[in-house]
Amino acid sequence: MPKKRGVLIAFSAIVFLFLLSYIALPWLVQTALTSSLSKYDIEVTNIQFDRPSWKQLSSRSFQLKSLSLRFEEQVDVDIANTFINFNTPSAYLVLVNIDSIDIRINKPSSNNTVTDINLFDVLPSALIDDLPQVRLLVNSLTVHQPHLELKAFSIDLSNELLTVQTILGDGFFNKGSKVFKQLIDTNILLKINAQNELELNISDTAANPLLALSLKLTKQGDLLKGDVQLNSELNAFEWPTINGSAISVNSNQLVSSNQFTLPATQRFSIDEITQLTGVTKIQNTSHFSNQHTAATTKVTTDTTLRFSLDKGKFRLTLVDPKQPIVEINGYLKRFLMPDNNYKMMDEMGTLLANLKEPLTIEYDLLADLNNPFSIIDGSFTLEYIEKNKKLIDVQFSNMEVITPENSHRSHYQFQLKGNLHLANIYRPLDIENLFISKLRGEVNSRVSIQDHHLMIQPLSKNRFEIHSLRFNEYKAKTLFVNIPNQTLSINLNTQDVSAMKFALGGQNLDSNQLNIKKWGLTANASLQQHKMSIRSSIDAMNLALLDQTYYIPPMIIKNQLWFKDLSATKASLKLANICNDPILFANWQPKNSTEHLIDIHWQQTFSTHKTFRKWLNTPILPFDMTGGSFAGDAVIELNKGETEFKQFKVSLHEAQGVYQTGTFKGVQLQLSSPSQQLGSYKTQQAVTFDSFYAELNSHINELNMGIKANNIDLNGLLYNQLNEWHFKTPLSKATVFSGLVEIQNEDINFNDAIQLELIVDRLDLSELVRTQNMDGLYASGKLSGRIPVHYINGQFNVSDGHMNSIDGGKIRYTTPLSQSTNINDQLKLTFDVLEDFNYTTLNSKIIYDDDTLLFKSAISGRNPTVANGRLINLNLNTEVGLKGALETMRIQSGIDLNIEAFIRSKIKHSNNQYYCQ
Amino acid sequence: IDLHSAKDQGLVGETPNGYLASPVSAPSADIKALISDINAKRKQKYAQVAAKVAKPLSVVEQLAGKKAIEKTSKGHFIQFPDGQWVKK
Amino acid sequence: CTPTVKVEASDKPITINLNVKIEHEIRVKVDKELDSILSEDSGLF
Repeated sequence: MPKKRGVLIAFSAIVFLFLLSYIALPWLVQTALTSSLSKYDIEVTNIQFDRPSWKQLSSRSFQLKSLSLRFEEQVDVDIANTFINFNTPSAYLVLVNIDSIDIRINKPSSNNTVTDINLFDVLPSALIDDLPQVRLLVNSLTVHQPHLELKAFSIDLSNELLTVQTILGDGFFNKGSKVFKQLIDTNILLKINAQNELELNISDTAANPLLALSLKLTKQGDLLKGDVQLNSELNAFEWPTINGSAISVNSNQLVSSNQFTLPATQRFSIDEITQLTGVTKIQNTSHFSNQHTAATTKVTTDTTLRFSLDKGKFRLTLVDPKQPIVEINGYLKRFLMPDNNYKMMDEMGTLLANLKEPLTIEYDLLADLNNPFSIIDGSFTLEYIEKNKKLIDVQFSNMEVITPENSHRSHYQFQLKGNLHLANIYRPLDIENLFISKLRGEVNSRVSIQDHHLMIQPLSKNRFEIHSLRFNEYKAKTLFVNIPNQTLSINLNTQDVSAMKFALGGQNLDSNQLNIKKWGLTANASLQQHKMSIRSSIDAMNLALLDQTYYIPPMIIKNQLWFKDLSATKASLKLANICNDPILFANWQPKNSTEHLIDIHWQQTFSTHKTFRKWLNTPILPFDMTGGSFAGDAVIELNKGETEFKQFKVSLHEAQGVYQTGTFKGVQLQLSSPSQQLGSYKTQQAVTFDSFYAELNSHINELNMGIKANNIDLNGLLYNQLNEWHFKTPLSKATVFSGLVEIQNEDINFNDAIQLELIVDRLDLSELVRTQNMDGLYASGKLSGRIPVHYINGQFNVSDGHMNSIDGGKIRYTTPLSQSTNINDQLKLTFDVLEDFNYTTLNSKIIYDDDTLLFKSAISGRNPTVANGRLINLNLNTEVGLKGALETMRIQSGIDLNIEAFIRSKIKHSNNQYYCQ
Repeated sequence: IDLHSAKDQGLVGETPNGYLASPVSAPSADIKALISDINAKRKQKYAQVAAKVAKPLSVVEQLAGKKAIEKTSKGHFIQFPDGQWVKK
Repeated sequence: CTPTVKVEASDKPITINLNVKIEHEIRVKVDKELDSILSEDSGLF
């Protein structure tokens, strides 16, 4: 019996052992698990393993209620409800089914310990066959930081194929991005086989394939070679734009094939990877639409990139494919700026980006600053074509771009070359009524940005031409801007601009009445501390204003504008002739948003070297001043398109000079505005000075036209009525032949025929006669009278002027002839009488027309020695050719030389030598 | 060399003050002699006229200059008041 | 210029009608002189 009892004891010991182990199973499993995992530095922080029921034991399946692990004190994993089943269909060793896994990463893993790995050892072909065949299913796997949810996550490792399948839940990728929203609830299938081939397929809930990626790894000597094909088809998603809104993408097809190689032994951290090189070919087509129009814009990209990564230095080179890298056609404006509706460039157009020379970009992963990249070389062109006309064709070459921005080492440089041809541009710059029918431009300039300085170096031929520009009521047929070679530097912090040279010009610039056929200027501008100074020299031009054309000589203008946050607060202008003699100064100041005030001043003294015409640098003026000074002040108010002359004073002091037919000396003149409003000039209707009027006070010592007029006082009112100029004078007078010539209460309308009555008082007949320089003739006496002068389109005439002697006088004419014998009696008598004729009355009728001055004088008097002093009525008709007479008198008085010199100097010199030089 | 051929060859020209001068910067000796000889004779004539009309010589010289320039035939040289020589 | 003279009874006034045309002789006078000085045969032009 003891044998039986031994067996019984053994059996009971086994049973007991079995029972004991069954009871202690949870403890057993726990200690086994903890000790085996601790080898890999994994700590079991919590485990709940219930004693399996008998039924479970017999079916060799266990349930682990919960298990918490901690990896290297950084990552905590909580696994809930794990069912382990060893009773599996033939192939699998074990089937594991987990309800949920929670992964929390406490702090980012610092990969301080870096070990060398031989990639060949971790290839699937090396690992797959010694991994147990297992099947793992996790209902929900969530990672917390960064947040990622996976549902129905399953791993199946059998007959040398690893299959991972899951449904992608929400995740960090989706935080606010509209694009990756589409990826939620998509199915992800990953297959890796022992031939080192990997396949990844993502398809949406309706099983349409979104992305298919295949990777093949092969060994090539001690290099690992990879070949990746990528195809993706995404539909109806939204692409976020910079300004927060989004462009809706109708469809996006991507085909990309990539090859790479790298040495097998690597240190696995991004900055330790060595000599990874490869080529990527990308062909992508996407169709965009915009909420404004149904029309879509198609963007195709076709580019080949060579890349390399070596110890943190990542280099990318765009290789030049045959066709454009990027082609955008459709409503470009809608695509580039989706949410505004500028009409400009909104027709269907095509934008092409072509690579001219391979573009190399370097990226430094080790630099501690954010995304440091630099473009080393390469050039590409941008072309914009609309209605098969190339509007923009610009090339960027000699590229050199080094970031990061915030280190002073950053440096951008490229050369921009090409031409622009834009049509129908309006409202581009938010300026209300600006219309440009065509803009053509040629650009060739080097651009560089360094230490917050933008340097622009226009090389050869930088020119822009604008055709039929309209701005408010100003129109210009053509306008061009020429920018010569220079270096222009702009301080991006202070917005200071170094001196910039440019030339402007154009053809027929006109506003309602003003028209300039051809104009041009060259300028030199700079901007320092909110003050812009411009020095421009303006070419001579002809200005047509109110159907009068005025020759404007070439001038130099220096002006300065003061700015306060982009609006001008003050401006000053210095106008000088081409020889830099100042002509006038003007200042402008805004009173408020609509009212502006302009004050103008000029002052100049003349001499024989610096004459008035030399000062204004124009030979065309009908007079010249060789002495004295000319000054003026004016205050003008501009208010919503209306110009008002507030205050106005023009004066001459001791002026002397010469004009067509005479000279003047000692001129004191002042033309000034009385207190009332001086006159306004409205831009809409014709130029009107309708309420302009000014007081004239002037005194001229001498006016010499051959006949001298002295102490001339010309006072009155110059005013404009219904656009006609008037001069009203209560009294103006002059001393001629020691007598007085006056005009009283006359109102001369310069636009009309002029009728003036000269009141003559006590002219000295002897002086009058002496001017005729007739040998032997002498006459005396004083004449007074009235001469009505009529002036119409350039012609003077007098029909019934009369002058009468006041108290008689003498006429004596001795000529050798009077002694000769062979003259007839009548002549003899006349000569006898005239030898000593004392007249008592002389009434002379004056007629002047067409250069013939006729004095019809009835003179009655006696010659005591003739006919014993009988009364004689002498009817004397004296006819004088006035122009010839005046000319002769001018020669005699010696002023003819000045006039000749003045007239000759009006002839234009051929070699365009400016008058003041 | 006589005055007429000298003018033809552009060696001599009329000036605004009624006298002859040479447009060439360095005229030859005989041209200089011709010019001073003719100018002297002209001056004498002008003086007579001035005396007759009791006017200063300069007035007559000016009128002479104007006439000489007017009468100069095409292709001969005349001088502008600012000294510039121009072929008529 | 030819003056016309009417002589009547001794106590009646004598009437003389005289027309005078004043030429600007100086230029005319000088002109003629200068024309002769500055002429082909004068040898001075």
